[in-house]
Amino acid sequence: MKTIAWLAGIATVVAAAAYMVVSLNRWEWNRALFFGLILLIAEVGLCTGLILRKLGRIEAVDPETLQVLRDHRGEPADRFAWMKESSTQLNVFITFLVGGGVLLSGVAWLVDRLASKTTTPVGEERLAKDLEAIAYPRGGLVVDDMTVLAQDVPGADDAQIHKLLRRASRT
Amino acid sequence: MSVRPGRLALGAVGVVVGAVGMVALADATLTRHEPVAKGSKLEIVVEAHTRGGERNQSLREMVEALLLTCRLEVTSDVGGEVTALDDDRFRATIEPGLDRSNQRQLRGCLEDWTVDHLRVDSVRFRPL
Repeated sequence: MKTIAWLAGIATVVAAAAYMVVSLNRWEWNRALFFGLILLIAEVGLCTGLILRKLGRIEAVDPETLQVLRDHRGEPADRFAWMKESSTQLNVFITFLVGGGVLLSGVAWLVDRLASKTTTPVGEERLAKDLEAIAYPRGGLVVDDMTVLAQDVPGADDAQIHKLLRRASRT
Repeated sequence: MSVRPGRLALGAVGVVVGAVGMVALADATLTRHEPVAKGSKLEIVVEAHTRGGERNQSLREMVEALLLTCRLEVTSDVGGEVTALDDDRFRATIEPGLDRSNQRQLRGCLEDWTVDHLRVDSVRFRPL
């Protein structure tokens, strides 16, 4: 029965392919499309059958052989056995841990020293520049005695003299 | 991984046959138009069969519809009426005539499953 099914599938593929080519050659596009569809369906069917047959063969393994193999399976390797050792023994892991810590601390100290030597002076200069904008005028805000007396001089109502006096009061 | 020579040869033959087949199919379905004389005509005689069609549609009407559909694939028109030669044979003329490529195209359309419930076989394609 299986043989008949396989032969029917193969015959369908061959016939559909042949008719498709003949139809294309005769410019009969609808027929070509139909036979192409049949070809595709038959191909999918055959491929599915092949895959199922392959799967069936995989499942049909001799159970005795399989049992023998399972019984003699080797012990899985314990890759972290060294962690179970006594903590009193120094081993490579501890050495690496301590050595790595020392190295990292040294690098961090170097970075800190370098940063403190370079960033702090530059930051101070920038801050000093920024503070200049809000700094008090030199000599303070209080007008000195000379300026006050000069304003009482006759003729000091002149705008130019006032301007001159205000400038002088700032210095 | 070793490949047996027999299998290799078989594969090579398969590739060659496939390539030749594809080239031949491409060549067979390629359109090559030739100039056609202006006053030329082409006589078409077809044999038509219907099964399961609508009762009030005659076979002649179905053939006429098929001709009108298929003439859209070529550059010519159906000239005059579609005449019945007997119960299942019909005659029509196409103006101007068709080159070989267009004749194949028209014949393919007529014999294809273009109209439901209608099967047509070309009996004659003759230049007049």
